[in-house]
Amino acid sequence: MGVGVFIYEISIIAITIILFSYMKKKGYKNVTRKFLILFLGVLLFEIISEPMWLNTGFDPWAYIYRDITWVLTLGWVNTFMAAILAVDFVYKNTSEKKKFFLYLLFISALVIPAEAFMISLGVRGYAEFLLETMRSGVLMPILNLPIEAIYAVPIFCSLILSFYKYINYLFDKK
Amino acid sequence: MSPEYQQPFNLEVPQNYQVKEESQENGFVKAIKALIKLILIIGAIILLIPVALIAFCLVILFGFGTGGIGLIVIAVIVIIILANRNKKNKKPSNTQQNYLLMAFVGITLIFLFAMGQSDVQSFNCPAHYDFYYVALPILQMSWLIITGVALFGMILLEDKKTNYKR
Repeated sequence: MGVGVFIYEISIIAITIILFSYMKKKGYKNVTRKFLILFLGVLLFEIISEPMWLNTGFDPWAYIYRDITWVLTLGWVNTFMAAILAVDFVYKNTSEKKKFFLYLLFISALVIPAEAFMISLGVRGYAEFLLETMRSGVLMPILNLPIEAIYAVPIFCSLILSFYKYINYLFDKK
Repeated sequence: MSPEYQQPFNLEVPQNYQVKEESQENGFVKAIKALIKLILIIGAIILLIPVALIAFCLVILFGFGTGGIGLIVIAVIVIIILANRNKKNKKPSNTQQNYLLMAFVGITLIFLFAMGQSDVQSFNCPAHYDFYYVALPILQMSWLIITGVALFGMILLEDKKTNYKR
């Protein structure tokens, strides 16, 4: 498990670097600011919801506060940024209202399998009080993830997306 | 989308990005777009599951006690707003949209209040055999999603009101 987790951690960091470099090279505006805002938004949410999740098995250097890992935070940042870039690339002329839901769809498609993967890797778990609420016994097919976990993704993502969009809007408006 | 409406948020594309006609795009770009659309479809399928579950459980909401009164009040407000919307373009005014969004937030609070007061163990939702442990997170969390969407909508409406120009 140690080597597998290490590879997973390095992969996330590598993806962040690649994504950042790609955006810089292609001429996206204010890349550093956007990554910082997204990182801050995700980190704030992770601190708030820290009691709900158990992130165990990561290397000691990956933790910053209790069981919050900056590596997973980067993973979320990558997912959000990829979703925003992808949806804005394909649906350039779509209204912001509709794009919001497209972002959620894109993120859900990436995050839910990733969540199942992390649980199978043993680095992710749910707090006892949270497991108490997951009593339907219904699991997602193939992924073996509690069906209740699906609800969490659009909830948290909608809040983080709004945070990111609004803070950027404050910076951009003249 | 009307031409005078300007997107409040910057599009996440490169600075020198030029929009090309679909026929001018090369095969690689088309493949990337197809992949993105495929991922969106997968996401939609995944998120349809909780929507279907919520649809099954919505019938029990009308069994609320004091929470039901609040729901009825808000439902009346929503109906009044929609009935008085602009007949020409069939859309509520900005102010009315704000009240609609606030109504969603109000509904969220009422659900939380009602769930705290009602005996949820007496509910008989056909989708779950042990509803007590499932109802609370599903219904409350579902309306939290709507709250998140509503707050996002408020940002857009606030921007339209201030005539933000880029």
